[in-house]
Amino acid sequence: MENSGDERKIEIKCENVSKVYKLGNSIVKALDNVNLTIMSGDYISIMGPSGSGKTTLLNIIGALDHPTSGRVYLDGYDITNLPERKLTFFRRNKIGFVFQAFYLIPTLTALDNVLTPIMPRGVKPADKERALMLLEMLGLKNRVHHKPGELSGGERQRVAIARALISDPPIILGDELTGELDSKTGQEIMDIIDRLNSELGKTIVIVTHDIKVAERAKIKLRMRDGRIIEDTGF
Amino acid sequence: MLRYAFKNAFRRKNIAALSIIGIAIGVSLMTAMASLSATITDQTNRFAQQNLDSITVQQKGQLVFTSQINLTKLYNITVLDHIDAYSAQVVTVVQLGTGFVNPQLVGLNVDNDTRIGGPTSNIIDGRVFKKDNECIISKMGAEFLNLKIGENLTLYTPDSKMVNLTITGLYETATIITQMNIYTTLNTARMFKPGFSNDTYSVLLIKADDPANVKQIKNEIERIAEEEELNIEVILFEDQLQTITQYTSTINILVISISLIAGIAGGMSIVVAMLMSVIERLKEYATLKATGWQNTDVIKDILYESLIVTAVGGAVGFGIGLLYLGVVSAIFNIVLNPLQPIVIVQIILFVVGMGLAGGVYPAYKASKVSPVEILRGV
Repeated sequence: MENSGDERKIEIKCENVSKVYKLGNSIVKALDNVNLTIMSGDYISIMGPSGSGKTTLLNIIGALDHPTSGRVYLDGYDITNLPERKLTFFRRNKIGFVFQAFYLIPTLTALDNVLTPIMPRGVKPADKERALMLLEMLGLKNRVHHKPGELSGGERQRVAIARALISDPPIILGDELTGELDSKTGQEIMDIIDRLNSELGKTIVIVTHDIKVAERAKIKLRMRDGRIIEDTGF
Repeated sequence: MLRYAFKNAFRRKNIAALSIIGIAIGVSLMTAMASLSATITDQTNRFAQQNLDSITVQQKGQLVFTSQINLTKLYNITVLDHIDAYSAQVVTVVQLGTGFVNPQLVGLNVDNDTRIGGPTSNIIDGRVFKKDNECIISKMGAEFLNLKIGENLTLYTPDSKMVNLTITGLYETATIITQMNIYTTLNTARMFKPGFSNDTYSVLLIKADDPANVKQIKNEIERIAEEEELNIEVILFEDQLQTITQYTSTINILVISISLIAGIAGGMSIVVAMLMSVIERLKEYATLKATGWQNTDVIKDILYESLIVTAVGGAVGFGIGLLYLGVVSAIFNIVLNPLQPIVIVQIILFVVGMGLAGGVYPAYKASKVSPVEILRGV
């Protein structure tokens, strides 16, 4: 979040962002005039009941969706109305996603899963080295050649985190990333997320229902009815 | 990315196997049909080369085996300039065994037939017939009928008289067209043609001294026929060739059509297989797009997968097609033409086209997946 005297750069900025969905005959206002500034290195959690708009906000700041109105800036670029092809560039280079259900490719090894984001442009030896380094960093040195079906839930999520980091993006977005894990494994995953922020300086934005997960963040946001209603940062 | 596509192409083994079978059937048919078509065309061309100097004289408006001509009346024709040799034949259709095989029984004079380069000049095993109860058949016919030299062929005349002909030799001609004939003496053939006197024949085959002279000979024959009021017609092989070419073209069109239908059926199997694969993996593609894959990357991946499955199916089908041709060649003892490089290139292009066409719609569908759907919840 922006602070006076803060010399960090603005990573993400939402100005009066609204998102309206048409659901059958009814109109659903998923986001209602949201204003949010996320600085480089911020660690933000977003909580809120189902339907409060937190995932929609994550999609929009993650360059996956367009707002109905307002403006969104990512790394200083206005991405509000960028076509899909250009949004892909931001997703590939600026953002790493970690999903609740991991979404690993079952036929690929842990190593190949980590490399999937860069496969279309060709995997170079340096990429492979980086993937191995990330897996080792995440405690999966001995699971490199295992397929997702041979890994535990926690290990799968660590592979997914390594995949999010392969392009070395400055921003990591997590959507209920401990949702499918037991409490202990969830804590281990969150320890990793903490380290990504504290040691690697990654900007972290996580959406969660879990208060324990949310409390790890330096900035805790609450959402209701498409609005940010509580900002516990600073 | 190719490695990724390769791993995913065979993820669902049953579906991949089914589409490979579908493509293999299509390609094997194409391979077999292409070779058969080439063989028919080649046989026709060879037959044409051998017979361009041939002239057939027969009764006007009749088929070879219903025609009746009197050789004495045709004497003036046989002494025309540029005629190298001639052979009059008695031709009839006979029934063998259960009646499924109806070859032509041709009676001829061996010396005359040899002069015009007929089957008696192409004996490859045994000898030519010398007596009325003897005959020659082709090597292919002998294998087809499971008969050997020295064995008897039993035929029945129109008045149900049984005639046994001993096979004395096997001939081989360059074309399948004349391979099913039985050749015997004129006397024997006349037993099957009631009303045929010793001077009555079905056709008169004439060999010109040069293919360039056949038209001049034809004109002379027609002039004589008009002057002497002979009820005959003159058929040049050149004229027949046009009809034969039309037949072979029709056969080729049929062959190409069957190949295309088989190919399209194979192509449909890849569409279905790829579509099922894509529908199953929509979340996967959405995740890949969320992690930075462009629509074109997704399209490329699916087209690669489609091409990989199609290539495997194509290779299997090509192998089966060659195997089938080998079996056909061995069973019927016919030499089939090897596939020309251009035909192989055409099959490869067809397989590639089928792979691309089969993958286009599934690829388009996958590329339109919205990653937002994934983040919307599990």
